[in-house]
Amino acid sequence: MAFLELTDIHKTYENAPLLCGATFGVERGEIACLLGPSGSGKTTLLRIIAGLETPERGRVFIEGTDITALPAHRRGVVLMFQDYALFPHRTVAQNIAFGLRMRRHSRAAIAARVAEMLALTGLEDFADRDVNVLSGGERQRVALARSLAPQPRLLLLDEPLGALDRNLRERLLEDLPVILRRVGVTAITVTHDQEEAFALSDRVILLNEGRVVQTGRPEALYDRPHNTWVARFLGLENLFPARRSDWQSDLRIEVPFGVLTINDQADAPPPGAEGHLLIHPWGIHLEAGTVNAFNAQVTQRTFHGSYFRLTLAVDGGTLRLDIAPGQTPPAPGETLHGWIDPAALRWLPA
Amino acid sequence: MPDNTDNESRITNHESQKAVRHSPFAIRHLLLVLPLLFLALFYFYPLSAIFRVSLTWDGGPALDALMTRLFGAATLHTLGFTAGQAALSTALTLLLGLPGAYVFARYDFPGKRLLNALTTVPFVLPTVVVAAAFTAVLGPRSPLNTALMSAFNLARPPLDLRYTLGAILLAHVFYNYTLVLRIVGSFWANLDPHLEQAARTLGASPWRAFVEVTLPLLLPALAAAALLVFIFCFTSFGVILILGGPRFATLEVAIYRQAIDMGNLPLAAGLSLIQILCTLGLTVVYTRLQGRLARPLDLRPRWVTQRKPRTAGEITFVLANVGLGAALLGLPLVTLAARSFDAGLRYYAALFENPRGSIFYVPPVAAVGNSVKFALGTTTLALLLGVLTATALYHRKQGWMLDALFMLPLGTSAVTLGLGYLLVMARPPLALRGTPALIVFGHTLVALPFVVRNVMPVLQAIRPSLREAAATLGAPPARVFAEVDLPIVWRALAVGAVFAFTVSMGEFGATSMIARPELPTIPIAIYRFLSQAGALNYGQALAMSTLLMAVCVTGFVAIESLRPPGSEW
Repeated sequence: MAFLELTDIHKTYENAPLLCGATFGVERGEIACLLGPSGSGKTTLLRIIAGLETPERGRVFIEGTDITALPAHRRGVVLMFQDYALFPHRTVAQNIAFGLRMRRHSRAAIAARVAEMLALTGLEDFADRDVNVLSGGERQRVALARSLAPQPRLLLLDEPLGALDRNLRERLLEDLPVILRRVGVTAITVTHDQEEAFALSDRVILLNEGRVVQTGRPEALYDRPHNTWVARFLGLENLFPARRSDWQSDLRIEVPFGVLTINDQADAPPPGAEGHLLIHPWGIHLEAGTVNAFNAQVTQRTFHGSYFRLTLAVDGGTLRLDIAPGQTPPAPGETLHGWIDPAALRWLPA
Repeated sequence: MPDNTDNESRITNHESQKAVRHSPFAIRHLLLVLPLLFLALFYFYPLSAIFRVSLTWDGGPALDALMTRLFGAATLHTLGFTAGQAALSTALTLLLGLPGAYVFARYDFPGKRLLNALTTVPFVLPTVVVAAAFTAVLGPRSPLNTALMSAFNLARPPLDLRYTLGAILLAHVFYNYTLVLRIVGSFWANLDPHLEQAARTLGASPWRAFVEVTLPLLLPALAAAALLVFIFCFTSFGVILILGGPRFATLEVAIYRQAIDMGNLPLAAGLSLIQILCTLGLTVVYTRLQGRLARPLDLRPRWVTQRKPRTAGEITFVLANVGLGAALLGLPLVTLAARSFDAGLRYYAALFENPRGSIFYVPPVAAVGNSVKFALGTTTLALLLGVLTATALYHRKQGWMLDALFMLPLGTSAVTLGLGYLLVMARPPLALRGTPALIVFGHTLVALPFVVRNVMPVLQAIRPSLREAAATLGAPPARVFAEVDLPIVWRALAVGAVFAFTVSMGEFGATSMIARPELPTIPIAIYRFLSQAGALNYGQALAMSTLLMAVCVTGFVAIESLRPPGSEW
């Protein structure tokens, strides 16, 4: 059994099902991420793990012990809120000391641990500051220090970077996992942003409509989405209705703009199957080729700083790909030839 | 995200203030002339007369006698009782009101809106009606006593809470329960529940989280509620006069008795001065306290902070509090209305008669006509002055001082005000004593803060970009007001109007000092009925009270349906 286990969690909200049988586990020391669109129930799952909500059905286990009915303050599970929920009537140091005081640590132990946490988060000079005058990034660090101070068995972070502006967010995206790994805490973050999920976590747990749709390492998830919903949610847009040829030996797949060959039997569906084909943008080459060749017309070109995004019209759909600005990008209206690397094709069952 | 939007709106507000400040500056000052003149003539002038009379009474040796009486044992005793019963009432109200405030703040349950509307009713109900209601519930002829007498075959009613401290305290709780519910409840409702939950996941038990986090953050609201309740109980008049009987007297009652029964205006003025100093002191303490206790809080909209009660424990808690509130607030009112029909419609019919030797010079029902006329006049005048004041003040940085100025009448005792009118309105320049106009002016003074309180937040909440958009689209200032402000503000105006109307309908303290005997209002009539012996008089008091209560309830149910989102009064 994993360190944390959730089995078959059900919860309704205002008579509508919010969670319908969510099941997953998290290993000790792992940083997991619950990823999903808003309304998928991820924050509610976090609150259920924290003990702030009770599931209507299902169980929560930590280290094999059923904690489903244990009150929040006796779980040793700390939740860091998206709005940080810093106590406005206490200083930075008093905020950080709160969890330690609840655990009745000695005065000296509290002072030592608070100093340690201030150092860990780079807040040494902020101990006696009023939390109400802090910037967004500083508040985030105080919240993190406060959450880590009592050495929780499990740390839950709800949209930890959600309230920050873009630049700060990019920086903390690098800092946060470093701090978490240095402490070695088991953590679950919640986010609706796939980039954030990929950058923060060892493993992504993808939720949709109250169920776990797919879990896995970020790279694996992005490389092989289980279905079209996952692919679209991750921003993979080159999807075409597809049909596998009827012959076992024949690795060709029909799509609206032609017939594409995939690499090996392992990727292939049974003969005659219908589904979708995902084309990873990195496999699209804009030059004449011998395998999986296609003709297309450029319909749109947008500049994104570090890359150009091209939209190509092909029969029955569009292909999107990014190219580096070093090359001269084709202009809208141009027609061109291209080919698709068979290694970039993924079969998604209907 | 919330941080960013907050910052943005703050910045735009600030910029627009700059923009507004230079153009119609003079016009906005002119708007204040009328309200300030009104305040000067009908508030500061009469009050200054009280100061003058109490400090420079030219009775020669009488001055010594006055001083001896003013600072004698009797005054000290009255002051002690006034403060003591106010403190007790405040403590009791907070104790009962806090759980109710929590239930209203954190839970969403069927019937909440209606209950919310109904809890407002006692607050504006005239003291005489409340007193009458409590005599109906606690007096010798109450249904409870009748039941006990027939059950145990008693010759005399076993319970009579009339003329006891208990009755006074109960009536004060009845009155101010809503105040705690509103002030603490509305603050609590917008308090971020994440703060308490964060404490919980950091290892605090529910009780510990309440004590360590919620309670300190609630302190400003608690202090505000406690202080208001204390001031209202400190200046309590009708409740003490009727429910306390001759044994009890607050300063307010003592002022009334000295001025009206004893004709000792100097002593009354001296007592008024003591009372004004006390309430002023309390208000100063309060503002200083408020400044120190208030924390910047990210307030949350209610749909975030409220939910339906789910577990059996939660449902029981909600039901218990709703039940307690309903019993406390509803029982006296329902009993009052029910008992007014004890003799069929006899009590109501009697209101139309004008028997020989009656305590009125007119049929009692004429009081209804008088009250409605005064109330209409008050509503019109209060709306006019209120809109002028709110428009002049809503965007000014230094507006809070003037704002506080217009709130002053709310904290000043009505009897004192009436006494001031008695002193100065008898001779020119303002020979208004005994005229209906003076009553309207007095009522307007009390009603004005309610109108300003309702309209100003809405004016402040209108996003400046709306007005700017209208201006860039070619609307001159007056047109902007008519096309943008007015359509948004009219609901607040309507709420203010209903407040002004009901406040005027129920005003008792000042009216009792200045109304001519043949021009009684409903509360005056009720008081006169209650102070006469006999079942018919008592019945007529109940009937009249029921009528007045019906007007107030109708008004407040109307308010609740008009209430603009975010307004708390």
